[in-house]
Order: sequence, then C-alpha cells, then structure tokens
Amino acid sequence: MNQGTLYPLLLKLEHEGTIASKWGTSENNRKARFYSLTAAGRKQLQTETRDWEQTAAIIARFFNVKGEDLA
Amino acid sequence: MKLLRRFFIRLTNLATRRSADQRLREEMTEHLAFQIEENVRAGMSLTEAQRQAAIKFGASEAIREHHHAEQSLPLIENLMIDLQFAFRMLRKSPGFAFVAIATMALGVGATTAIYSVIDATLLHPLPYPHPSELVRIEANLPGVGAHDVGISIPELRDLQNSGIFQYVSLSFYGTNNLTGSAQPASIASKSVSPSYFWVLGVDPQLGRTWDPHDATPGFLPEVVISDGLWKRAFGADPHILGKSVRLDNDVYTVAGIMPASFRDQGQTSDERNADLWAAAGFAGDPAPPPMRGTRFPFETIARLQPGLSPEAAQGRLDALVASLKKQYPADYPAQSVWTLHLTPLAETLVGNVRQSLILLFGAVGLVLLIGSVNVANLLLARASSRGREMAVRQALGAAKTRLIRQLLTESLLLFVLGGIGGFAVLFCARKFLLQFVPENLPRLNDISIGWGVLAFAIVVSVAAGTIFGLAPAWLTTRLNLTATLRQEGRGGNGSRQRSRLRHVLVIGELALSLVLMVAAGLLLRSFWDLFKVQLGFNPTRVLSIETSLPNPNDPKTDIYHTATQEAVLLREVLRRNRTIPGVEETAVSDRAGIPLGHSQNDRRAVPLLPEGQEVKSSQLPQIDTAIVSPEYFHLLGMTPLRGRLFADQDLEATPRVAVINQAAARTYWPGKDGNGEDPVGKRARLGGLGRQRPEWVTIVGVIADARTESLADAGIPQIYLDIYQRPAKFLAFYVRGQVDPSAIPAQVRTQIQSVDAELPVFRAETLDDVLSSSLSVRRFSMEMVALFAATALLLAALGIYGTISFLVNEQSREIAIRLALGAQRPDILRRVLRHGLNLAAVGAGIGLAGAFIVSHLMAGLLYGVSPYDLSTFAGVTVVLTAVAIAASYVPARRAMRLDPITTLHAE
Repeated sequence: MNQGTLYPLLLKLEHEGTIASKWGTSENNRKARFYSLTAAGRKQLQTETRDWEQTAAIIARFFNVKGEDLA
Repeated sequence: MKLLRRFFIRLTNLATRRSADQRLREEMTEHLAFQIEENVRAGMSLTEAQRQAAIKFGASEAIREHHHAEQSLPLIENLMIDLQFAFRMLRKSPGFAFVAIATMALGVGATTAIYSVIDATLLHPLPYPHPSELVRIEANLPGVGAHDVGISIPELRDLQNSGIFQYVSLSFYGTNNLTGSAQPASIASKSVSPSYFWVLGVDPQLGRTWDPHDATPGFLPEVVISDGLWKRAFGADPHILGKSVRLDNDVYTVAGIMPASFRDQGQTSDERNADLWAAAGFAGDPAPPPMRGTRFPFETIARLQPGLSPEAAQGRLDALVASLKKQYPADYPAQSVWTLHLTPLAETLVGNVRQSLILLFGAVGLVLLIGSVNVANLLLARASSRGREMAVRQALGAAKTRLIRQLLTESLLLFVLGGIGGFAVLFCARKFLLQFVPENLPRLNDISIGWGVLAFAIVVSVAAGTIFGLAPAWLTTRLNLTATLRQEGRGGNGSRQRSRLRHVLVIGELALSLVLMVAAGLLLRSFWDLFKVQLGFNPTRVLSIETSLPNPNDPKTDIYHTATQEAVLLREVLRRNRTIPGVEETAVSDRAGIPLGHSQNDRRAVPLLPEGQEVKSSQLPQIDTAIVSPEYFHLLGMTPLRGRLFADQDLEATPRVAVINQAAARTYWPGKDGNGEDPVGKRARLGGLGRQRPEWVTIVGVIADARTESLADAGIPQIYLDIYQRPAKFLAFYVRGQVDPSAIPAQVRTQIQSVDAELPVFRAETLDDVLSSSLSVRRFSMEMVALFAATALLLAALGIYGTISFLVNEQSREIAIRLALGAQRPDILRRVLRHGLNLAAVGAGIGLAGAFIVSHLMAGLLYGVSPYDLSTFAGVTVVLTAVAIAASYVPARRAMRLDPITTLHAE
C-alpha cells in the first residue's frame, strides 16, 4: 500500500471524531501534523480491539478442531 | 450516528467551502521531504532519494482527489457544477433562455393563479374543524316533483334524537334593521337553532354561544355577532357582552363575538358574510305551533357522529324515514314519497362554480402543457446544434448518464426559473388580478398567494421540467460518435429521431390548442347570445335602492303590519322621490322584484292552483312571486299583453288581484286542447305553504315574458301581486331618469329617512350593473378561456414556426442542390408549405376528436349553442390552419430565396 493513501483515511477518522490533529514541530525541527486519539477514539479502539480478539479467538478455535472432535 | 456526523461535517465543508486542500498539500510536502531525508541518510543520491520517496508515496493527484471526495458531498457538488454550467449556457444564448423562461413563466403562472382560486374554493371550502362531518339535509317529495321542501320542527327533533348526528341545526338567512347607532343599518343575519355553532364547531372569541340543548320555543334573548359588526357598529367595545341591541325594534343582549377569521357557510356571499346570529326554537311566536306538516323553507345542516360515513348515515336516515312514514301515515302520503337526502356541505357550497373552475383548470393545464411542449421543442432544436459538443465529451469518456444528468439540470433550471418568474409576477399582480374574479365566488376573501401556492408552482415546474426535459436530454446524448464528429454534428440516427419527436410535439401542440380554441369559441358564443338576448325589460337609466321595514317578533308592535299602514309610507316616499331633480319615474317592489338582482334566498316560490282545477296531490306546483307597485311595469318597460295592470282602486279592502307572465299563463291555464285559455278574470288559490294561509287572487292581466329571474331562461312562470294589497318588508325603490348614480343614493336616503328616520337605506345599484354582475361568472370563465386559447394559439404558431425553420435549415443543402439542378422556386415554397400544412392537418384532426369530448363535457356551461356547433368547429379549424400556414410561410420564403452557390460553398 502506498503511504499517501493514509491521508484520506486520516481525514475520515477525523470527521468521525475518533482522532484529532494539530500542527506542531517534529524532533528534527520540521513542521508536522500530529494526530492523537480522542476519548471517543480510545473507546472505539477498545471496542474494535475486543471485536478483533473475539473474531481471532473464534477463528483460532476453528483451526484447533481435530478430526476426532467432529466424529 | 457516525454517518450522520460525517454527513454534517461534509455538508458544512460544502457550505463554507473551507478547503482542506492546502493543508493536505503542505502535509504531503512535509511527508515527502521527511522521506527524502531518510533516503539520503540511507546512502542514496538526491535524485534517487526523491524518486524512491515518490514511488513509496503513490500518485499524489489521485490521493488529493480521494481526499476531496472524503471531505465533501460529490453529488451536490456535481449538481452545483452542473448548475453553474447551465447558467453559463443560458447566458450564452440569452434569446433562447428568454423565450423558454417566459413561456414557462406564462404557463406556470397561469396554472398557479387558477390553482390558488381552486385551493381556496374547491379544496378548502369549509373553514371549520373536521369539515367532512358536515352535511346538508334536504327533504324532497319526488312523487310530486317538489325538491328541498324544508323541514318541520317535529322532524327536526326526530333528526336530533336519531343518534346519526352530533348536532342538527336549522338556518335561515335574512336581514334585520339594527337601530340605535348613528345610522340605522340593515345587517345580514341568520336565524338558527341554538346548536348552530356546535354544528360548525367554532367557538366565539369573546363570550359564548347558546346551549345546544336549549328548548326555548321562540327567539332566545341573546344574539351572537361577528367581529366585523363588533368593530363597525360598536367600536370594538371590550365591555359589549351583556349590552343590548335593538333589532327590528326587539331588544336583545349580546352573548358572544365570533373570531375575525370566522366566515359563515352559505350559498351566497351575503350569507357567508352574515354579521349576526339569533337563535330560536321555531316552535312559538313568531313561528306557528310545531306541527309535523308545517315545514319551514329553511336550510338544515348537521354534523355527523364521528367516524360515520355519509353513505352509512344516509342508510340509517332512510331507515328513520321509513319508520316515521309508518308512524305518521297522514303526514306522509304515500304518493308524495317523502325522502331525506344527505349531501356533504362542501359540495353544496361550491356546486355552482365547480364546473367553471374545473373547466378553467383544464384550460390552463392545456396552456401549461403546450408551453412545456414548446420548450421541449426548443431544447430539441438546441440538441442538434450541441451534437458536436456532446460527441466530443462522450469521446473523451463522459458517461451518458452523467451527460443526461447535466442536460436535465439545464432544462430543470429553465423550468424552475420560469415557474418562479411566473409566481413572482402573480404575487406582484395579485391585487390587480383579483379584480377580475367575480364577486360571487365562494370564499373569494380567502384566496391567498402564499407558501402553499409557491410549493405548487415549484412542484409543477419541476414535474414539467423532468417530463419534458428527459426525452430531449436522452435524444441529445444518443449519438453515433464517429458519424457526428466527422459530419460536424449533422445527420445520423439521433437527428432523424429528434425530428420525428419534434413533429409529434408540434402535432400535439396544434391539437391541444384546437381543443382550447373550440372551448373558448363555444363559451364566447354562449356569452354573446346571453349578452344579446332580448331582455323583455329595459334596465337603462334605472337605479334600485333597498330599504327594509322592521319585522318585530310581536306583530302588535309592528307599525307596518298591514298594507294600509305601509301604503302611507310607500306613497310618501314615492312622491318625495319624484321631486328629486332628473327623476322621471319611480316605483317600488319587494326584493324579489329586482330584475336579476336577487339571490336565491329572495326567490319566493309558493303554490298556485287555478280555480276549478283538481288538486293532484298534497303539493301544488309552485310559482315565483314578486310584490310590486302599479308603476313597476311601466318603469321597467315590460309589455302588457292582455287585461289590465294594477290600478289605484286595488286596495287592501278590495279583492286581491294579480298579474302573471305568459309562461305562467301557459303553465297554469293550458286550456283543454293545449292551445291555452285566457287567464284574465280567472281566480286562483295562492299560498298554503308554511305559516301563510292560502288566499284567492283574481288574474287581471298578462304581461310578456321577461328575463327577470334568469338571463338564460325566459320562460320562468311569475306572478305579480299589488304592494298596496299585500305588505312586504324588504323593499326596493326604483328611480328612472337622468340622474347622477353617485349622488342619488344619498338623495333617496334623505327622502326615505325624512319619512321614517329608523329605516336603513342600502345597496344602491343601477340595473345595468346588476345585469352585468349576473353575467360575471360566465364572463370571467369566457375571458379566461379565450385568453388561454389565444396564448395556446400563439405558442402553437411559435412551435410550428420553429419546427419548419429548423427543417429548412437542416435541408438547406438539399434545397440548394435542387435549386442548382433547376428546381423552380415556387415548387420549393410549396414543398415547405405542404409540410407545415400536413402537420396542421394531422394536429387539427386529433384536436377535433379531443374537442368533441371536451365540448360534450362542458355542455352544462353553454347557452343557446350546441356543444357540437358546426360553425364554431369549422371556424376554429380554419383559423388554426391559417395560422399554421402563416407560421410556415416565413421559413418557406427563406427556403425559396436560398442562394445555391453560397449555401453549397458554406458547407
């Protein structure tokens, strides 16, 4: 994936209110835009993480199924 | 939630046009610079570092587009762009834009104007809560051919107790003399049952109305007045409640004031503008004792139980009628077939103008249709000239749907601009236009041009724009790309389809305008016939002025109770009126005697039975009566045919005499062989309805028929009684002569009030005005339809002109070749003209078929002309054809004058 495709996604997240951004200066003295999670974003992240873990756990259980379990 | 939030952010971005583009670009530049720095640090050369960074980042323009799509609403943005483009296109061809917008403004404006009238009258005829529950109850005796015979008090009570209705009320319109204020006034009033306002469901703004279950037999001592009267006569006195007013010399107290917005229901505008309501049980003085057979010629209105449909209510009412007939066989003889009929109140109020308004709406709808077709035609013509543009855009990859969307935006812009323009003109000219609306239209005062009407105008123009913009847009984008690009936008498949559609549209236009012109022609002929009709009386230089004598509830207090008492007043006023300078003749009659000037309420039909003829049933054939003074006939120029007119020796003490018109002689004295017998000297029994006792009158004379009752009908039987033998309360004084119509009312008022200062004097009108206002609805619809027809004809002429000139343009090369090969110029002219004539012939053929249907439907609006009147149909067809040929002649001449050399060189 190209790095540039990140920017429309960042804008979308900002519109959704999960991240906020502001201009600042980077460690090597460059002008840079800093993105940070908002409270809503943090909550969203938690939900998404939980969902993802749940999905991953379910899929993992599929892989752990052995032939004799189904018999 | 999130979607909504994003939508609103996008919407605000769109609205504020805050561009995040700059920010993105800066961010991307920083990003790249950072990446390059890193690459250089990793040991790359500067150019290589830049290249690798750009590859890693991706196509920056595509990202910017994505970013833009994310932050805004592409659909609306496209629409904005399309609109901007459409505006530019319109500015580029101002002539086209002006014609199209003006056409639509005309069509939508006219449609909206008629709609605003219909909205107030047909769609919202009853300004009361739950109007669908309101009904009018009509009693009929179809067995003896009598309709709307009225209702008796026991019958009213049966209805009130039937459980079908919430409330039932009688209502009777009249006028009362209000005295005590500076100038005695005659005010429009209604005598009603105490439940009247409960039927209508309207509460007073101040005070109260009556208890709906009040059972007082006579008049209740309290009255309700209108907001208008409160302000006019009492200066909006806040302490009016409980104060007394004197009406016809009886004293009442004011119990309530209706809201300013309240309009009464009723058939005439006088009735709807009633100013005072008095309640009575109609079971005691001044009414006769309640008997089942004593019917009052009053109107009965009622409010149905909630949720009961009129049909179901009619079913229950029929059952009630059947059981009453069984219970009281003597009062309801089987042969007269007493029935009660329910009609939704809304229908009874607008019945007489409904047909005219629907006709007008149909006519104006056709104008709108023709206008839209014309604009569609113009759009099609432009489609040919924009063929190349469309081809280029499609070749460059524009999707067809996208192009159609853009073209549709353009046509919608035209239509909506036209619609708004039409509405704006209407809004500015509303005062001016309302003058042309006849005064007797119900709810005239409620016609308003507001948001509802604006919404209607916009909906109509959007609908028309979509319907008539879609086909041209579709045909414009349907192109054979290679052929179009090579041939510079000429020829090709789409072009043939377009010209076929253009022909269909022009034929449709011609057909529609023929229909309108036939309708207008028939109305014009009806109106003209009515206008030119032999009146049978002479209205010129005659002025009528009304007064009314008090009618107190107790006859003993009435100073004008007998004809002899009244004669003193009448003779004195007549004598004084004759002394007014310029007055040549004077007369007096009751209100029913005013030719064409009285409303339905004043028409008094009473049974008349010639002596020696058998009573066929309990109901007698009825005749219109008028009470007049001896000079009346001469003043109005009515022709005596047989016998004598009234004379000075006819007094209250002498036998009652009467004069009838020819129609009455024919109807009531048909003779044994049907040739008629001389009614002079015969006696007849008059009256016997309601509380009046029948009386015997001797026919002393016959006069020629005159159209005093209805312009359209000369043969309405009429009987005249002598005012010195039979007193009348509502009087009209007439003066004929060289008088100033603006000064005379005051002069007559002075004369009348110098005899009795308590008498109100009002409504002075010349008979010519009365005559002309009796034609007002007809004149209004005739003028409107004629105007619409003329517009339609003009539009159709423009349409055919446009089509033929376009055809000539398109075929100029062919024509030039023909000319170069030796074709004769007149042949070219004929060829083009024939094309126009063919279109006109097909259009006229279809239009004639449509006109037959329409004229059949409007037969009820015609007078003296058959709906299939040959001369009208033929004349209109000839006019249409002539206009079509004239419109084709201009481009045909251009074709004839074509110079082959320049034309062929130019290609």
